Amino acid sequence: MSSRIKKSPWIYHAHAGGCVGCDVELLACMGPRYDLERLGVRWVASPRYADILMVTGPVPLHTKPFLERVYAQTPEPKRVIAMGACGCSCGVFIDDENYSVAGPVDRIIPVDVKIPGCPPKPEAIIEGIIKVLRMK
Amino acid sequence: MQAATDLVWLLNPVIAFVVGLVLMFNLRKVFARVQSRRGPLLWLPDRWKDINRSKLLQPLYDIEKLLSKKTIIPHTATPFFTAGPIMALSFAVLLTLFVPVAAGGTGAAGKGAVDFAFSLVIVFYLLVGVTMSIIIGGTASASLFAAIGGVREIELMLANEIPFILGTFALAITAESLSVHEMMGFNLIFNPFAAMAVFIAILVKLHIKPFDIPEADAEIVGGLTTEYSGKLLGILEITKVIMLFALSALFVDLFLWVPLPGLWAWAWFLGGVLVVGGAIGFVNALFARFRIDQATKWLFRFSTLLSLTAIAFALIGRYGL
Amino acid sequence: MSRIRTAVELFLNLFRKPVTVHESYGYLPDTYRSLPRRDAERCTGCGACYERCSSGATRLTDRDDRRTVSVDGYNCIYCGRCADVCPEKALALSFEGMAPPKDDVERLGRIDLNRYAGEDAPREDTTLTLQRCSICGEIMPVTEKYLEVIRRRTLDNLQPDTAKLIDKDMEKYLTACIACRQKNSLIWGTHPRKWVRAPAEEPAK
Ligand code: SF4
Ligand code: SF4
Ligand code: SF4
Repeated sequence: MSSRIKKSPWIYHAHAGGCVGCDVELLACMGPRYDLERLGVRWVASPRYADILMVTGPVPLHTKPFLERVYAQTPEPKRVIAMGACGCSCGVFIDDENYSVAGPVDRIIPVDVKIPGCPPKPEAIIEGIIKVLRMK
Repeated sequence: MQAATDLVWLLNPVIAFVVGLVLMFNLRKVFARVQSRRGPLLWLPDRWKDINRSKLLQPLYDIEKLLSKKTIIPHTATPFFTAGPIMALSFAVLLTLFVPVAAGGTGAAGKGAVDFAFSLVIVFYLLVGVTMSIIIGGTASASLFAAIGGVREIELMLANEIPFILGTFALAITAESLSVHEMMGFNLIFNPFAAMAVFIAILVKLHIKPFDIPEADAEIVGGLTTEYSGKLLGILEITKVIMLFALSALFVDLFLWVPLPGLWAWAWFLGGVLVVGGAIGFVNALFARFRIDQATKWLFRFSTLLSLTAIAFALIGRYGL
Repeated sequence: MSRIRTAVELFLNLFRKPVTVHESYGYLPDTYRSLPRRDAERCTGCGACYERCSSGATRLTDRDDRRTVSVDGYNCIYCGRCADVCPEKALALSFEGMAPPKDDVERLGRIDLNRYAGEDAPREDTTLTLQRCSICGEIMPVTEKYLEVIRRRTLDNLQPDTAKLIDKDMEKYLTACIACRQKNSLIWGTHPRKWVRAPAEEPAK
């Protein structure tokens, strides 16, 4: 199963709160300099097409149901990457008094790979994606 | 023996799929290179060898993966949801039987396809059939995005059929026949207007960049195909590959064809298809998306005018002033 | 006209070298920031970095008489505020001031610092011993090493005579917990100037 994902990873980018730093960095990944399409990666528009969910942001309370739905809409087999300090551990939004954050991504859906950084460098993102491709 | 060689056109769908994969790769590569990217690599560097050796078959990997994935059928969907892609695929496969492939030989075998006196009309209907089946399947999912996509698709189709039909009819006037095989020739020189009109129509049918509003990724998340996943999406992807081949081949047949014997015909045909595929990829990279009103207006004005000019051109060429 | 030029330019791109970097790694500037590394020799466990941390990545954990200063690799946003504020200059973000990477292996190593896809976040931990109150024996929320540094700094700034004079009082004050200070009326001004004059007339008890 995973060997097929390995050869053609289609990534859906779920933006769950956060500033847009990570998302801009993702665009840079698809841009000419760090061209991710070299690996056959395709950025898809609908979670129904996706193999890999790329989640950025700390998941605010009102985004939580949508994130769960997007996860459920992705057909098996699927992988999840939590991206950015926000995705890994809520980053700068980590605060016991923060009433609006539902917690890091792995508290809501199972996460396979985490890419820390705020925002992570494109190199780090590529390494993270390759790591998820190499997973069994 | 004779009967066996007469049936070579039965291989057309297979050829369409195989060459279509290469065309799809070509499309992505050209798109990437125009943007100064590398695109899917032909040889991956050593460090990535364990992921894949070469991405040449990337479209095949995509299809293979999609066919191995789980298919989710929304609970609002009607049975047409599953029937749509299958119908589209069968129309596309039928279409390939009518598009001549390397028609270099003589006799029935040399035509490279089924050929009637009115096969062009059949090609029209099959092309519309593919689009209609996708519309039926997409709207059957009861998704709003699919509904918007379907409306746009129909609008675009209505605006697009006129130039396409008029453009090909210009050739039919010149050749005095509705058979695709008899219209074949290097008509790019004899009727460049028709060539342009048909090329634009092909772009619209394939949803290439200025006309990809029916499946606008960023706005209506894939339009008609929003709800498709797994195997059904794989079938749609195969349809796309075959359509890419069929339309490029049709363009080569109608406008770039030079009668050559045997293997030369194959070389010319494949070369032509690759060039047309590359041109499609280049256009894809060159333009931004038209809004639906811009697209229909543009098609109704410019493209229709172009095809009318083509008809006039053909009439003058045929019957004189 | 300009549109046509653009189109030609884009067409020529087909025959030019793409700008994509080889493999996945581009040039990493030497100001590339990553997880702060703590020099355990220098760190005194003062907690300034903890106070200043933007995202709560730096944590102080006091357990028994040990204090651990840790940085959570998943949480850190590599802002460098901790390195700015550290009085001992014990912190440096991974690549600041380092030479650019020479070869592929080194580059990979550097990128690795920014990518921990496993389950466990990387940590930068330093453990230090906490001071016990010299009067009641309670554990104080300050490390021995930090007091050592305060002592050294204060005495270094004073005249040798004055230093000798106040050494003992200061020692008493520093090593007493807050409760004991109040109980025994131990006072110690915080301003160095106040310090220099005060003990001659009115030595602290
Ligand atoms: S990790 Fe940093 S850059 Fe990314 S979304 Fe969160 S705050 Fe923004
Ligand atoms: S000495 Fe520097 S690193 Fe150590 S606790 Fe204080 S501020 Fe942090
Ligand atoms: S670099 Fe910033 S986020 Fe990281 S530990 Fe230092 S202050 Fe905290």
